[in-house]
Amino acid sequence: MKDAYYEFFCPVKLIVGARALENIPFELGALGASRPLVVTDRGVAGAGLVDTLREVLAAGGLEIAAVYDEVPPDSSLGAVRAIARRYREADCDALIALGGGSPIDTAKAANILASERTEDLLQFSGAGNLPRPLKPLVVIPTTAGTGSEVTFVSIVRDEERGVKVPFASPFLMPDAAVLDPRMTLGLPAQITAATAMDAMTHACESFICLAKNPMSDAYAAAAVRAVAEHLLGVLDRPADADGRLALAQAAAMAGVAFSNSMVGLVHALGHSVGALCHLHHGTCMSILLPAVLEYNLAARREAIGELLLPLAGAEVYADTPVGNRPEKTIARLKWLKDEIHARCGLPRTLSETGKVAEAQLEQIAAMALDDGSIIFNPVEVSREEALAVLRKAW
Amino acid sequence: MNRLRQGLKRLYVALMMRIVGWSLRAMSRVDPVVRAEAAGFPDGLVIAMTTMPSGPSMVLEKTPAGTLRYLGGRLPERTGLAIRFKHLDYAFRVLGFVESTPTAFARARMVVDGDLAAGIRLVRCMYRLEALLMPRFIARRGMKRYPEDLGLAEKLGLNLKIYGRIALDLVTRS
Repeated sequence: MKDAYYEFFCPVKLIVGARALENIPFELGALGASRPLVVTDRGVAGAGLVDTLREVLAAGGLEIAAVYDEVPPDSSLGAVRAIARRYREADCDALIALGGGSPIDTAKAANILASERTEDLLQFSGAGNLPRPLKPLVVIPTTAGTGSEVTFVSIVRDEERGVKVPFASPFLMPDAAVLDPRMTLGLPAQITAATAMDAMTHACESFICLAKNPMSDAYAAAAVRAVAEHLLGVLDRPADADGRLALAQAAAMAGVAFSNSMVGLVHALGHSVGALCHLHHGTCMSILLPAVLEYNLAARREAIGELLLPLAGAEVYADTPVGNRPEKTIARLKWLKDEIHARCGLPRTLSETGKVAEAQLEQIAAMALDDGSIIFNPVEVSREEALAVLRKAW
Repeated sequence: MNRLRQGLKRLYVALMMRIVGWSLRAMSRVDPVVRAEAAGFPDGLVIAMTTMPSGPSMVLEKTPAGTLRYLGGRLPERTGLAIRFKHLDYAFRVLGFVESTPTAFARARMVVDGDLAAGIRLVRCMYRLEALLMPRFIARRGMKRYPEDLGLAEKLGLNLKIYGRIALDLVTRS
């Protein structure tokens, strides 16, 4: 251990629980902002969440200066530019992202243009290319999965070139993340399951990948436990506000974990499946996680075995011989996938999605090798091995 | 003594940066694996590897012909991909095979600016360089997995080609 070394960073203030939204006027005021632009999508606006937010903020003396509710499902550079224009036209001084991964990532990218007063977003793409702090950004997740509310990354689709453009900088981290159970109560069952399995995957990968460390392990294990304990209950009782809040916290904890220890092959493959087949990210994660854990098993037996405790509880863990725990962990994740499928029909295999053609697997495998996540996977992955994992998940 | 040690480290890193630059240039011409990887970089991409705050450095450029051109040790104003070691000691540990490249990434020993996919491709080129040019017991310390299918005869044959090409490039200054 004399050579051990890691870095851990998470400056995002978490505001969590009942009536958390009511704290936003105070938080923005403390940041010197009074004219926020709300960034969201049609689904969230249609569900009445913007109205709820507007009402709560107004009661706290804060008027929303403008709303942009046309963020597309995979984000887009066009939306980012439109938001920055709206920000300038309405003389805004802060952003509030309200939604899932797409509105959050889009708002982060729009904040670059709003703060740097430019139209050229691509000059800031890649890692570490932002020169200074951005305008205040408060994030209100309406799904419990991406963890984007606590990460330093934004991924935006360049619709002209057909590629996803990553931005990574500590300045992209939001000033505050507000987890209020009112914001996730109406989430449909399948999205609830897919996003929760996204959080589960963030946690599992951060627990086994190369940059794992004691701090990220603590967050990851807590996130695994929360998803394992609450997901099926929330699918059975969608109005369970405590369960919903537990999943939102799990997503944030998993986000803190993976933004400090990174993710591996599940995400490398999942990003490629998403880019080529337009499959929901959380669904990709849920499908691929057990197959990748099996692939990494020899290199990470101990860590995968340790996951059994938060995943299945103390009784199962104690009843399982140490040597069998890694396989039991993977079996438990497969069981969880089956239970989720029985409750809401979330696909368990790539073929069940109906969106991935078997002929595309080779292209997906090749593309995954260039994904930034792959370097943190504990095992060096060849194209043939990536393809074998995809076939197992097929 | 400490200053002497730091000076020697700087000298070693500068030498290794140059060797990496020369080798990748040569391998992009004579090794099928690096040739295929290099072809995947965008044309004109300028790749820099440097040590903060002021070098040593090495700079490569992807040519339209699909090969890599060594541009020397001076950093240009703009790069498409820059891998910057945060400290001379970190660069020394990676280039001295004390710490593997993926471990260095995991420990955030360097900052990667620009095209991340190209960065992953460059890491694969580095693995290949280590596997071909270093003895197996040293190369294994720099990567996650030494290529088991790389036989001694193939390795020696490619070594000859690579060193020959490096010599030719140096003579012809190409």
